[in-house]
Amino acid sequence: MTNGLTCTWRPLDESTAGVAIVGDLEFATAGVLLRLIIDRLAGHPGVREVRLDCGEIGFCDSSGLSELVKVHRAVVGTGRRLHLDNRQPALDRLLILTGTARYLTGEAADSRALRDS
Amino acid sequence: MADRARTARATPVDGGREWAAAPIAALVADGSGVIRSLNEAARLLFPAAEPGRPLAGTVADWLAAAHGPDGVARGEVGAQSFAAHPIPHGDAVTWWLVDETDARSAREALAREQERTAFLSDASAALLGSLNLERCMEVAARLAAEHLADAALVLAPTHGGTFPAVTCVRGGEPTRSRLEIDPDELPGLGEALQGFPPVPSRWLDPDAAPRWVLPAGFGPVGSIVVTPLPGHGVPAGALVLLRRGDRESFTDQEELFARLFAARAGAAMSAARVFALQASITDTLMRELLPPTLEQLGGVEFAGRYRPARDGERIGGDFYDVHSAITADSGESLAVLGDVCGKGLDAAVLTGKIRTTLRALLPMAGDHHRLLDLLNRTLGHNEDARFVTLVLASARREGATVRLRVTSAGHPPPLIVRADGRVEEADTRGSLIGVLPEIESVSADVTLNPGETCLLYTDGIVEARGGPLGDAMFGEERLHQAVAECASMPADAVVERVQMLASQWIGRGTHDDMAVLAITAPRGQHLAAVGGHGRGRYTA
Repeated sequence: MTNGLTCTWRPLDESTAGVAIVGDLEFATAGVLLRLIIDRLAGHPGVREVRLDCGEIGFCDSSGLSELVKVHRAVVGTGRRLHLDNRQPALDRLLILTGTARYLTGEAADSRALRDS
Repeated sequence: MADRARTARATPVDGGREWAAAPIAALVADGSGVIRSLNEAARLLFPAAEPGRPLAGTVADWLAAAHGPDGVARGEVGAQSFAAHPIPHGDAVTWWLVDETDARSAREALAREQERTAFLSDASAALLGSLNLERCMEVAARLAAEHLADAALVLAPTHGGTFPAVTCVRGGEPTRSRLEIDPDELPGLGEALQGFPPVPSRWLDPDAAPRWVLPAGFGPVGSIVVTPLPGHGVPAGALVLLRRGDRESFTDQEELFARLFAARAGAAMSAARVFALQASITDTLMRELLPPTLEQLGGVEFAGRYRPARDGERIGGDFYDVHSAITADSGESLAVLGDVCGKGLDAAVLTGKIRTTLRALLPMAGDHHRLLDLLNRTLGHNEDARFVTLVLASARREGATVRLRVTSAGHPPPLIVRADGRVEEADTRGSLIGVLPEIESVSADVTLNPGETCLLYTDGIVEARGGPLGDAMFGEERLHQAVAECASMPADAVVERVQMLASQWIGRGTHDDMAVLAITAPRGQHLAAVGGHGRGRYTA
């Protein structure tokens, strides 16, 4: 059932990195996205913003959401900003259902999450 | 000298001094079987043999019978074995008798070793075929009785004062028992059971053996050997071997062999014991994590069903609980259904924590938001970003109806099935618990009339993949349809039907944990005042 997961890091400009996520974010693929982000952030200290391109995310279950929370911590926790671009309706529904939309999307980095970190 | 003696010669050799002193026995006999001459070695071997006397009666019978020019004859003289090589010359034959005793015993020893190795290998396979200690002891006793002795007694270390034991007489069936004994009555057994390494096997006076050692009707014992069964770091037990009076006692080799067998039996028993211990620990821990059996509480029907993601496991990340009113006057029960992210044992352990925490927070059950907030702080910010989504439902019976206060924390909203088959989503929402600095929640008030049900479910149900092509999700629509058909059903029938439909949908495919909990207002029940005071009680 698993469609696998491919995550690709691509610098957009000097201070912005894009990450394309293609496939299912779920229990079976947990860790792939987080490892990529942590590795690349360590190698690119100049990156101030990370834009996840969520347009090609297929299925996202609770483990996938947990992964996004960890990515958020890794990015925002080091003083950067995280954006979830191109969210498809399914992902938006999940973020709204779980009450994590404000926390995970760009706006959250301005208010609650920064106060927390 | 020796070289010449080994060289076959076509002429009679019956005079030379060298021949007479040859270390290999040789004798010459003519065609009619009369000895013509023999050397010193042959004289030592056959004292009665003399030139001029017949072979028959003076040399070994097998040699006399074999006399002739054809082929090598083999036989024994006293304790020695010989190969007799005939060298014909004219009508006479010279017999050279080559001593083969060492070679033969080596061959026999080799065959015996091969047999034992094969037995030990078979024994290991038989012993390791089961991780059940009792079965393992039976196999050990049977093998020992068949191959090592006339009867065998296998004892496991004491368990609550008695010793699990298996006895087997050769050719019989192993019998199990629990012996209430003092092992020190049999010298060496106490030490063997305590596993003093290495305890040598001990020869025992059979008359000194206590009666419990002997199988019923075994008869007089000739010899007894006690061998420890060494385990993995801890003693696995002891093996007692018995032989009848008319059989010779154990040789050093047999005793060594018994010890080799004991090492294998001990290892197998030890593995079975460790396995049993692990299984009982797992069982005990798992019992705490299993979902409870639900029943009617305070006039409200509750029923739950749970299926873990991995077949063969009984626990996972989904859970439900129903707590009865903690304060005497509230009469309000709290139902909880939740889903911890992840699967398997890790998820189950966090599930256990959350269920315990919720139990401790029950006094706050009147205020769902406060309860969730406290739970969020308790779990808060764990390293691996594990969270839980859950639904709280406080239920109170009022007359024929059930009043519900429902709060979702990042969880799919519960479904309300009306008596006429309409399906509504409870108007509640809230954020998940465990990773956010602050949570929000909005509760919904719901009234259930008799026969109406509020169904709490985890996303394992709607996300169950299956169907005709095996890749479609069960989905919300199918769930709505399924519960619509459950109008006016008892709670237990509702959860059974939903779980069954989802399971059928999945077929053999994979799935996440699936849990459902139904809260139903019972149909056709009456308020029965008890003792004429208080709020009364509802009977099923």
